[in-house]
Amino acid sequence: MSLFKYISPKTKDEVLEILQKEKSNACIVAGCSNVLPNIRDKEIKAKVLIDITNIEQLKGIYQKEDKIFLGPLTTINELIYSDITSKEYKVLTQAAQEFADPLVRNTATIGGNLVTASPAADIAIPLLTLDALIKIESTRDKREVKLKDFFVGPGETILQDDEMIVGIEFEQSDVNKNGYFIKIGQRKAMAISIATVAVNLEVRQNKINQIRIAAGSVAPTPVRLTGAESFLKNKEINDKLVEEAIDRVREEVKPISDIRASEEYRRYISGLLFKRAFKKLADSSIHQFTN
Amino acid sequence: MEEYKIDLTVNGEKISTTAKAEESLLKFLRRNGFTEVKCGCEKGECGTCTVILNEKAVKSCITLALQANHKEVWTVKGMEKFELGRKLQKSFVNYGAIQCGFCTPGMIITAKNYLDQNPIPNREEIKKAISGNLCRCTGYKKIVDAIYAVAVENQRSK
Amino acid sequence: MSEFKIVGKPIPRDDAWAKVTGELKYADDFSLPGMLYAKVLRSKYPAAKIISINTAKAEKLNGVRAVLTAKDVPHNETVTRFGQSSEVGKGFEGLYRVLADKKVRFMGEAVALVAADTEEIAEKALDLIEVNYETLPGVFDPVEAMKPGAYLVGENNSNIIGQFGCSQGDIIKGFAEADIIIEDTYKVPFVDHAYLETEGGIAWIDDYGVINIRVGSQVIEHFRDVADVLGLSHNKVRYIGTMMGGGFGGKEDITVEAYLALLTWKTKKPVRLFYTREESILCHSKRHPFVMKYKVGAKKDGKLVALNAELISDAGAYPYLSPWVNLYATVNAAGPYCIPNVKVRTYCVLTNNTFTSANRGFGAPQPNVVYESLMDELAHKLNISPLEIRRRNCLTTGKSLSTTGQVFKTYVALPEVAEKAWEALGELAKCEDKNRKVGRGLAIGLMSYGRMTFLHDSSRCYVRLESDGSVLIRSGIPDLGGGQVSLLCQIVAEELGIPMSKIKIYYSDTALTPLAGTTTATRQTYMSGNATLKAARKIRKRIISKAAELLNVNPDKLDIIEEKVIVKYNQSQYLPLVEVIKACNTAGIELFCEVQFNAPFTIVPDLSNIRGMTFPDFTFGAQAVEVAVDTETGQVEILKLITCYDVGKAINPLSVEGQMEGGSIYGMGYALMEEVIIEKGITMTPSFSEYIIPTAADVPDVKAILVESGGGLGPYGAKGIGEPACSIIAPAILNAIYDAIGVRIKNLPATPEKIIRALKKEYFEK
Ligand SMILES: Cc1cc2nc3c(=O)[nH]c(=O)nc-3n(C[C@H](O)[C@H](O)[C@H](O)COP(=O)(O)OP(=O)(O)OC[C@H]3O[C@@H](n4cnc5c(N)ncnc54)[C@H](O)[C@@H]3O)c2cc1C
Ligand code: FES
Ligand code: FES
Repeated sequence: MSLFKYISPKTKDEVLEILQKEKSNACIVAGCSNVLPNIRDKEIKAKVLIDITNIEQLKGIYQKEDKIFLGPLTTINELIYSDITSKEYKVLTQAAQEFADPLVRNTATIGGNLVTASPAADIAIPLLTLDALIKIESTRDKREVKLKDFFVGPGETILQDDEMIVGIEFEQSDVNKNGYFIKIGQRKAMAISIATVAVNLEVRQNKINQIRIAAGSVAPTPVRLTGAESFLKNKEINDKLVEEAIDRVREEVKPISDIRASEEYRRYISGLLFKRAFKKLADSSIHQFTN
Repeated sequence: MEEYKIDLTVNGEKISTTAKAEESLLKFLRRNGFTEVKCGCEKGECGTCTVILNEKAVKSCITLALQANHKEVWTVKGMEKFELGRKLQKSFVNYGAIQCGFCTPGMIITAKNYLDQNPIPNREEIKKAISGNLCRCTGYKKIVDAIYAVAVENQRSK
Repeated sequence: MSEFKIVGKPIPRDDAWAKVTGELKYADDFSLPGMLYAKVLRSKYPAAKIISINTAKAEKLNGVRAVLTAKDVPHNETVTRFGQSSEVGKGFEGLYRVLADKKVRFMGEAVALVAADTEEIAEKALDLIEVNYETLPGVFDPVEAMKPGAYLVGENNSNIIGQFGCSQGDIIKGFAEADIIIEDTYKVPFVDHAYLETEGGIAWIDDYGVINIRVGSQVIEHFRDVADVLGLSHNKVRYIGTMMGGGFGGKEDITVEAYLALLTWKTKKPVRLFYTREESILCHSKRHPFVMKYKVGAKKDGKLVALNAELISDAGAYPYLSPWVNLYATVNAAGPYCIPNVKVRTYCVLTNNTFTSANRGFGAPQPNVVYESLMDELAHKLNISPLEIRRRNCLTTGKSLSTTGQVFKTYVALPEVAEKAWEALGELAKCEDKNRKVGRGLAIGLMSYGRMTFLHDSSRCYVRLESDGSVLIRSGIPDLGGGQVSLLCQIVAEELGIPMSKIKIYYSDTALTPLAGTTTATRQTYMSGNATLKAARKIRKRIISKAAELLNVNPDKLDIIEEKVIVKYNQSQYLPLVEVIKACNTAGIELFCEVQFNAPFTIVPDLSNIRGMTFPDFTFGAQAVEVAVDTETGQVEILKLITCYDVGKAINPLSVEGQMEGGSIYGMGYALMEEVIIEKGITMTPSFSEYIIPTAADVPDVKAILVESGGGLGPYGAKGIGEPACSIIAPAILNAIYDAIGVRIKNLPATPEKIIRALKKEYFEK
């Protein structure tokens, strides 16, 4: 006897129909790396499992005009092996390489990572600094939201019961091509992040033209650090500025203490990770920047 | 709710049976006699349950059985059908890469799948490649030795 | 025997092929028709009164075959043993309680058992059992629990369940002579064994009414304890031990066996019980946390003059093997050093935490952390190199242990191993990055192999030479993955001149194999190795003497090589082994035997001042590491890790290196990342994403250096290595961290956060 009903639709529209009918009684299954442990821990209330892994429409990484499109079923390893992401959007591949381990990366998807909405969702961090757009559909509606507006709280997103993610998009802009991601975990693989930071930066004449900073495991959801961003914008890069920005980052994050690290360490380390990521990018943008 | 029909091949053999909606591929395989797929945590955190599913090494405890419908699964018992599989088994034996052996089936599957894609890695790359498979006994040294020896052999025969 | 044929060669183990092909059937890879599935209801609270238990609803659930609570257990309270047959007295044997009765003592304690047709039904039944608890305050810190008036965990009027002491000389005088004194307190945490196979097994009643338990256990002698629980005669319970997916001391106590026996007894059906990973972390034994207060004094030249240590350990909620572990910690507390004035006091205290018991190292790793850190501190303060200070103080052949006075009669490989390990580090790694600091650390140690001599340990083995020249061995030896079984085959192959492939061994069965004692205390190479050697040599002697008669030569001229009895130095003169066997059989000469090997026996020591021999012998080793510490994140990377031990004789070098490499990484986890966090009795780390052990990406390539002095008590001069291998790496790493950044971590594990808090005091204090 199965405890759940299982459906494996072939098209996105079928999924939307089922969602429309079942609402919160349905649970989408992608890579299953969160869903199965949750079933085991009896944390899933839904009764219908919609396995979307056979839907070709939801897979793949493409260039679309001036945008990059990622299907929600893109696996973490595909981010590493795709020419499109690995050549130009290193911030994504860096995060992917630090994600879980090579086996989990074969099945875990970026859609699943975003919807899980864990504060430690590693792929959300670079997607935040890429200013990604989440494409959401239901039978009622199609909408697009900025990823920074997607998360509501730990495990909570703006997705309605009848909605699903059908794509993720970001621009092929200069700032998006100049990103850096760093993760600190308890060990070098299979580690849930203690803290992560991603930075995307565009410098013009030694001045910060555009900057996006995001951080993981230091707030109830993955977050953009917009305060630090606006502090830095249009400023000339020098050591003092960086030091001040580190303080801003540390002020802006809202970490908690848990078994992996204390609030204070997370605050400290997010500033440090910001510094390291920023310097890497700034160093390669402007050669005169010292230390 | 009833069980669902499932057709798949395991180690090249066709299997037609049923599976529960929520059943993990790990439980399904063990229930059907493939006890060489080990269960160390049931949460994706140890790698003892690793199998190859449509040419990718995955953790079967965090994969639904029904996600293997119409697909190909390989466990360590199928490795003797591949030259690389046999080489790895022999190398694990000769290099003493086995102690309790509980991680071994998963480790060999991961190594086989990795070397298929990346035949001549260095030691550091091998360590990363097997970083989803815990081993409590060996300290990994001899496991890396065993895989590396096969990589060196691959390079020679290139 | 001068030249070895197979001993000393890095040969594949007997069990290797079955493991790489997936053929080997571990405990959970076996099932029986009509088998029921068992589950355990566990206490939700660390300390509570059980007001009532109502199982009626659970019993009514369709498919439930039995629900048992304490009242259903014939002898719910017995004593903890671990296979000893000698009388050791009250100081060691504590209460073993099968199911919680009236009161729960730790979160996860077994309260009720269920057997049902499926796992799902069993789980549902657990939800239907109603237990009414009244929570109690509990006590969670051993230091608190020692105080008068503390909450009482058990039924006695004190939480202290064991006190041990050793002393020699006069510490007051000793400290008065010292030029430098260091005092410090160190803490080490709960640690899980984290073997990849959790605890479990299957039980059934056979045609003759015997309860059979097929289980992964390091101590099959628990069949007696299980029989006692049921009130059956000992021969009515049989253990069939499987190859284990790791043990490390965690399968040394009874785990599932009593539950299985009770359920199969009640239902008359086969029953399976396997712990989930969460269950395993929550409620099987842990390594003891210790609070260790040390004071050492030395002269200006680094010569130690006095050591005073007070060790307090957290036994958790039940005694299990705590007294033994604490006795060992006491004996080991002064390390491998000659110190004229020593005093050690150890207290073992009950709390409402998960119980603690054996874990690879058995009380050695904890004090080792302290004395080796203090030696390092002395070296730095006195400006002596870490190697030199150890050279000046270490034990050497003929000296005696500074705690108990036990004299080392065989070769003590100190400072040899230390010199070799330190030298093997080679050139210091260069580091460009200004935020990465490189440093080195050394630690030396000793550890016993073989059980405490007052346990009167023995092992038995049966060997039979078949008419076709194949051999059958029967030994009760359990194999936890270390190659214990294969080792016996290798010894017989050596002695009888046959290939490993011609040997079949039956192991770990209390009904059919002679009892070989426990796979604990690093004793099997020594004990069962010797028993097997003795048996093989008996048969060898009979073969040789028959061959001598047939060839008409003196028996000492003969050897058995490659299945031929040959005349040494004239290899063309020989008889095929099968011919000689035939001749023996015709003459009625017995080509089988069962023998017993006994360790040295002593009497139970005075526990308040343990003196003289307590262990048969010790293994000496050294570990050296080079680390790089990121001074901004606190992350530690181990760049080089050298492990050097005098193993006596490496019977199978692959297996010995395997122990040394694996032991090093086991200890590296202890040093840097592992901790079962228990807050007010609640386990906060019940999974492998919370209880972190090293992955392949975290480890260096361990370099093992084997010294083979031939001085061990095992076969061919072998010593034990399993536990010694993991017992000193943690302080070596701590010392390297200190060398790199000047921070001494005194509270394991040395996480990046602890390191950064120490390095960036100004930041964190503001
Ligand atoms: C051992 C292990 C290690 C891990 N390590 C990491 C790590 O390092 N970093 C990290 O960030 N995470 C990690 N995770 C968590 C997890 O793997 C990721 O969150 C993963 O990306 C989830 O993807 P999935 O495809 O497996 O999701 P699933 O488990 O299939 O689904 C997760 C959730 O997303 C929903 N969902 C999936 N796709 C869609 C969609 N298109 N539209 C709407 N809803 C959808 C599902 O209904 C479900 O609620 C780890 C997990 C494990 C088991
Ligand atoms: S059992 Fe699948 S990863 Fe542990
Ligand atoms: S050999 Fe035991 S876990 Fe790897």
